[in-house]
Amino acid sequence: MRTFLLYLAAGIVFTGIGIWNQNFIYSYFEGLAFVCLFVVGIPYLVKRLRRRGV
Amino acid sequence: MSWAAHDLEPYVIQKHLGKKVAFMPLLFGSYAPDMFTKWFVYGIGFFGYEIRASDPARFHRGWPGVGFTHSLPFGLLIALIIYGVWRKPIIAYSFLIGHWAHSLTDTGDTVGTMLFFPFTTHLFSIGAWAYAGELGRQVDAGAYFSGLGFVWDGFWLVWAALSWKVLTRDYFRREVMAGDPFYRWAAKSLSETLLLAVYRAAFFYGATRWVAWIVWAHFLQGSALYNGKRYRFKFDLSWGGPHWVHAIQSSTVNAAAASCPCPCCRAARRTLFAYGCVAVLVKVKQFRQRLSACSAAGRQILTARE
Repeated sequence: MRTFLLYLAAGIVFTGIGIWNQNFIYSYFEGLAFVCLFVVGIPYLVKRLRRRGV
Repeated sequence: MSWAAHDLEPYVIQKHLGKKVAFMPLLFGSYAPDMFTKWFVYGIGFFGYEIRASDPARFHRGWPGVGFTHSLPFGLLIALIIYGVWRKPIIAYSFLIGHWAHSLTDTGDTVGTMLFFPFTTHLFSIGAWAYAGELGRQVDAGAYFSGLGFVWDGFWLVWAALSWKVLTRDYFRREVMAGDPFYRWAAKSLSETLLLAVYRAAFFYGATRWVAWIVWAHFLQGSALYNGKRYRFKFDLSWGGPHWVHAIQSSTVNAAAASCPCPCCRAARRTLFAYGCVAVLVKVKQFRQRLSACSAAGRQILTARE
């Protein structure tokens, strides 16, 4: 469920970015980079920062 | 052209063929016909200069142009090259399925595709929605998402969403990893979460892009300007629509190119294609021989060291 919500949030944000500026939804590679960053990169970074904080 | 179908079709195909196809080459095949050419249709700017095809429709789908990238024999040729390099039939035919799906999908617009190039430059077209690539990306998008094109993409979106099980982690482990050599290779060094994100990315991109363009065209912008003329994006779901935009027709795209019906010109295309195929196969064979010679030499060096 958590993963699904993460993808859903990523989808909403990416749709918003695409509506704001269509150059960000030009190719598949932008979608790929965004989803990897949002679903893998950011949670990984948050996890690392939390561990460091503890 | 299709704006989201090429992203979503591979998931539906994956659902039906399971382990029999490799997803990455399937997706690559689905993108391949437009991969290196689409940017030139709409143009791109560099330091104030814009480069763009003078006749976008002919460049994209016709001949002379790069329309041959949408032909079925071209897909077969690339699949043979892939097979020659990797020697894995699953990679080659998965690419071929993706490529042919793209070529057949693009026959839906008013320009269509040269399905049997180089044997004929005839453009096969169903003519369901208007091709307006010559009017720039925004007007083209507005026209596409106002006509039957958006219904077509919506159909694939619904079908892909109904095949949601292919997006699950369990399915990815059981079917995709088992069928696709790329993911098996990548799994040696990358995490499963990252590979899953890569696998789901095309669905994510297709779905968000479809929603974003519809919202932009019909709920926010409503119109776009091209060369001083304003185009208002009204829904027109009639065949070949929307009719508020001048659609390029298949009959006009290759009209000049097909004007030389002499036997010499007609035969030359086929002969050149046959020579080209032979040349490519010979090169692939030579490349493989060199590779095997190199690997044999490498093995000898390693044994000598030991």
